[in-house]
This record gives sequence, structure tokens and C-alpha cells, in this order.
Amino acid sequence: MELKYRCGTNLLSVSLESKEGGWLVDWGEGERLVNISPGKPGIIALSLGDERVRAYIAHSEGRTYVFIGGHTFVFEEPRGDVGGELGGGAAEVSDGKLCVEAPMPGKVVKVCIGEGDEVGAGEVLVILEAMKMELELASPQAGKVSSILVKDEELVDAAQVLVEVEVGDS
Amino acid sequence: MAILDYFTLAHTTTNMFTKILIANRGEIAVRIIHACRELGLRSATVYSEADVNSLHVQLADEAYCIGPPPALESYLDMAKIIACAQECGAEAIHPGYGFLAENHKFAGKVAKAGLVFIGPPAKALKLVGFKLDARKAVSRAGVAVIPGMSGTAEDAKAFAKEADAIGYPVLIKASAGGGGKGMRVAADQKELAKALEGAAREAESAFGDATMYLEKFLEKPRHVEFQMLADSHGNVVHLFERECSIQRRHQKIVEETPSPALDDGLRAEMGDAALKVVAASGYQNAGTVEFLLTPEGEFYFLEVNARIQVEHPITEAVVGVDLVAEQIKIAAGEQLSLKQEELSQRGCAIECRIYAEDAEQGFLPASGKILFMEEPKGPGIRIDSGITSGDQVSVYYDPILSKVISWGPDRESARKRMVSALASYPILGIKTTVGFLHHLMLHPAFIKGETHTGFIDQHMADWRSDKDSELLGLAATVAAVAETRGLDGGTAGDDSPQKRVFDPWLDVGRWEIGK
Repeated sequence: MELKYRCGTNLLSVSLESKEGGWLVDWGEGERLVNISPGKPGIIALSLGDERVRAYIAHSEGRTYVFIGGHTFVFEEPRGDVGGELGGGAAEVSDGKLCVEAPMPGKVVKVCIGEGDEVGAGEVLVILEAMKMELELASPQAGKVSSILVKDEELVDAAQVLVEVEVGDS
Repeated sequence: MAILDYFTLAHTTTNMFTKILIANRGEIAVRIIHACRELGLRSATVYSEADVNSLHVQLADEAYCIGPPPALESYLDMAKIIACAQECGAEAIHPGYGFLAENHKFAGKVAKAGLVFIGPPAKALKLVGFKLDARKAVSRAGVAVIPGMSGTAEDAKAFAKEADAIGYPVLIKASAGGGGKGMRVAADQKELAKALEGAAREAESAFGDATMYLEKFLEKPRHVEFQMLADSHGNVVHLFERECSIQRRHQKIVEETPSPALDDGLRAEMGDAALKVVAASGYQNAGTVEFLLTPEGEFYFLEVNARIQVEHPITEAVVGVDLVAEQIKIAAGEQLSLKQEELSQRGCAIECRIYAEDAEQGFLPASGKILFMEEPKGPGIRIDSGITSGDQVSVYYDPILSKVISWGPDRESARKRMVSALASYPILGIKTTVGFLHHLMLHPAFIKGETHTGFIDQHMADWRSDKDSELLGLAATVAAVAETRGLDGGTAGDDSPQKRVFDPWLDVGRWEIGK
């Protein structure tokens, strides 16, 4: 069977086939035979040939967290649109509209653009104060500011949409 | 036998306190609790509603809720904290680091209430806390300070004139500042005005004081600081240096001792300068004198940190002194038992700070629930932590979760132990800096000891954790296999973290596709 995941900006397709007590796995770099040994909840011991790897796993609210080799990976369902997370600040894209969200609760210090402005990739849209720090929220892509949903001095919640930007093709 | 007796045999001197109130939270509160146990004292702690289930509350002998989550209504509420200490019969208050630790008004109020503030006297705290005053005092004592302004300026034009005199690039600093807040670099006159505005705003918000000044911005300096202990009888020692060059947002994330850049001569010179600073400021208790060291070997006084610091464990590892216990003893009026000629450094220690931050997104603070956590163990590994599985990490406080400290007989063995520890430290459910620090410890420039305050910008800007496609593939395999085996994603309403963890072995026996 084949399972698809999104991890950050990577889209992965993992094919699995039960074989010889283990799994024949292909994640896009050729087939490997992987054995999984039972462990305690949250702990999975893998072996690939001679190598043994210990991984940790937890799942909550549609996200699967895997810790392996010192690194944490977060897997989610792949989304319908292209690109998924764009990085550089909390922004969600759908239908050519980019919503810039507050990454955490805070206060709008300054709205740096006006409705209708053309903005470039990386241009600062809003300065947010949170945890005594100033955070510059920039537009990850070039586009045109279609609506500004907050004003100076306003208190905002985490994931609250602050600015909407129309971007090129979706 | 009282519970406390299981931890230690009380050996207290007649001066020693019987109970201390810890006015802090997280890993440092836990650290202070350990020192209290070892000294045979009762520990009382305060906590906000957000911390009701946290580790420091569970470990303290007594715990008192002093308010809702926002720090201003709890951990920063001086009156509530002092009242709490008086009501529970604590003779002294340990402020930890951050919050009220360097607030001279608080130190004064504690003294007025007839309690002991475990830290420097209010007057010394006031002097070193206002950087412009500290610079003046230190300069008069004959120690070099970073070239820059000795007072503030009235307006943007006056600042621009000063900046021209100093020479760009300049560093804008808040006189009442610390922790990297209220600091900005301006590369030229065009950037200066906007940067001054932003820095002043941050300073007003964080410290209630927007007095700004300019210093010359030194290129790629090393941040080298000296740990000091001074008692109330005039005895002062330094416990050698720590190098804290690796920083993001002007905040340290990796520290090590000894500094790869110091030889015995330079160490003795800087140690002497640090002793002069302590003498000039009337400082008592534990503190740190910070210097910037240029690639040419010149050092300049930066500031005094008038508190026990986050990175104190690496000094403890290499010098073999319990700094928090010393703080408490000094505050109780005891004479320093340490003599400079008897102190020495043995081996090397490194600390990595684990923050709840997204290292791929400019280190934005992260929040969420810790679904699963397991601490690394082994020879030469120490973890100072304030978290456990199931904790809800909030955005109300500084995002430090824990510290990993490794010790080895030399730098390479300390580094290798750190690499191994970070590779075995899963914290699932929130973004942490573990992966970033793991890569940093493996970086060739770090291995060579080529550390300076621009290290992250130079070597690890735009860092991404999934560069290793093999590891990503393996991780995806783990997720896929767990999903295929039919897992219980956790029952609704069940907050137990273990239940939300994948348990692929709930179904019995093997099965094969097609059979």
C-alpha cells in the first residue's frame, strides 16, 4: 500500500509491503527491507540490514511526530493545493489568497502596508509584539494586499489572520 | 522522620536559613530546590495558574499559587511574592534568573520586609543594572569598556552625530536592558533612525525604560564571561571563564568552558579585570562579568549579569563548585570557603539550551503539549529540566525547556558526548531546538572552536532539519508502519499522553497482505 505525507515543504509517498516478517519499503530512493521490533508505547526499534535505529513516535490532532537520529519530523496529511507550507512565517494559501497569521498571541505594533499595495517576497507586512519581542511578519510571496484585518495596538490570538495577500497562480 | 530528612542530613550552621521562597519557575526553580535539599533547607515555591502541574511545583516542599498566567500578575508581582514569603515563614527569597532577579526595587523591598534577598545588595544591583552607570564605574576602575557613548542622547539627530563619531556599524542598546532585548545593529545612517525606534519600543515594553545608547559594533567577537563569587566579608574569587559566543537574537544558546581562545596569560589578565569590576561595584553573591574578546586578543567590558545564570552548570562541571549552594551560604552570612589559588579547571564542559522554538522559522517561540519526552543519560551528561511528558508549554514565559550539559576530559570528548545526548533526546509535540543544536555540534567550524557571535548567521542561516533525505525517508517509514498497524489515536477526552502515543502492538500476531 501507499501512504502520502507532507513534512514541511516536502511531499512524500511511502509504499509498504509486508514481507518476511518485516516490511519492504520505498520512499522514493529504492526498495529497502526494514524490520520493526516491538517496543514500549511511543518507541519503535527499526533495523535495516545490520543497522539498528531507535525511533520515537507520538500522534495528536492529525499530526504524527517522529524523532529519529536527533531530529524531529512532523508528518501531516498532504493538502490539496500545491506547496503547502510556504515557510517564513505562518501563512496559508488557498485559491491564490495568502493569509498571514499571528504565530502566537500578541499585540499589533504597526501595520506597515496599505490595502491595494503591491508587496514583494519577504516584505514586512505587520510588526507584532509578543513575549516582549518584536516580530516582523513578512509576506513569503510577492502579491497585492487584498485586505488588512487588524489595526495598530490591537490584541490578536494565535492563528488569527492579520493580512490577506493575493498571489499569482495557485 | 520528616520527609526532608530522607534527602539529606541537616548540617546547618546557626546562620543558615530554615526555609527559602523560590520566586521563579521551570528548570531554575528545580535547580534551586536541589540546592535546598542538599543544604537541609525547606523549599517553598510560587507558581502561576499556568504552572499548576509543572515539575517545580511538584518537587518543592511547599507551593503557593500567586496568580493567573501573565507574569505581571504572578511571577513579577513583588507584593504578592513578599507576602507569600512572610506568610509561609521563609527567611530568604531566591529570585532565580529573569523575572525579578535583577530588579533593585524588589531587592530593596525584600530587605525592608526583613527578609534576605539571595543576590547582590540593592545598591550594587542598581549600579550594574543600568549599563551606562556600569560602564562609567568600570572605566574609572581602569578596565577597558567597548568604545561608545557614556550617556544617552536627546533625539535622532544627536544619536546620528554620536554614531558618526563612533563609526558604523553601531549597536543600539537599552541601558536598562538584558537578554538581547532592545538591541539592534545599524549598518549606516539610513538604518539608524528606524532601528532606534524599534529598539526603544522593545525596551519600553520589556524593561519600562527606553534610555538608549550606542556602542561600536565589534565584528565577530567572542563573548567570554567570568563567574564571580563575593561574600559579605570582602572575599571575592573568580571561577574562570565561559565562552558564550553562539547566539541567536543576541541570546546565548551554546556555552562552553574553557574558552578555546584563552591561554593562561589572557585568562589571568581577564580574571584580574573581572575582580576589579566586582570591587568597583560593591558586588556581592554570585554574578558574572562579561567581556567581548576581539580576534586580535583585545578584551572589553560588556556588562555585569547580577544573577545566577542559565549557563552556570558548565562552571560547576569544570571547577567542581555548587554555585547555587554558594549563593545561599553567602546570603546567610557565611564566609567564602573558596580560595583563588585552590580553584582550577578540570576537563571541558558544553551546554546546549533547549528552547521551545522553531529553528526553521527564525526561532519563533512554539507552544503546545509535550506528548512524549525521554531524557538522555550517560557518563558526563547532565540535564537541568523544568519539563515532563504531558506538560503544556505556553507562550507566557521565556521558552527555555531544559539544558543539556556534557563534560569530558577534553573538548572533543565533551562535544561527542553532547552529540550523542542530543541524538537521544526526543521531545515530541512541540518544536524544539534539539535538531538544530545537534547539527551545530557536528559543524566543522564548531569542531575547530571557531566560535564568535556571528556563528549562526555565518554557518547556519536558513537551516532546515530535513536535509538528510535518508533520515526523512526512515521517519516517514516509521509513521507509515505505525499507521498501517492500526493505531489508536487516543480516546477523546483522555488527556493522558501515553494514550495518545502510537501503540502499534495493540493487535496480536502477524499478518501478510494477500494471505
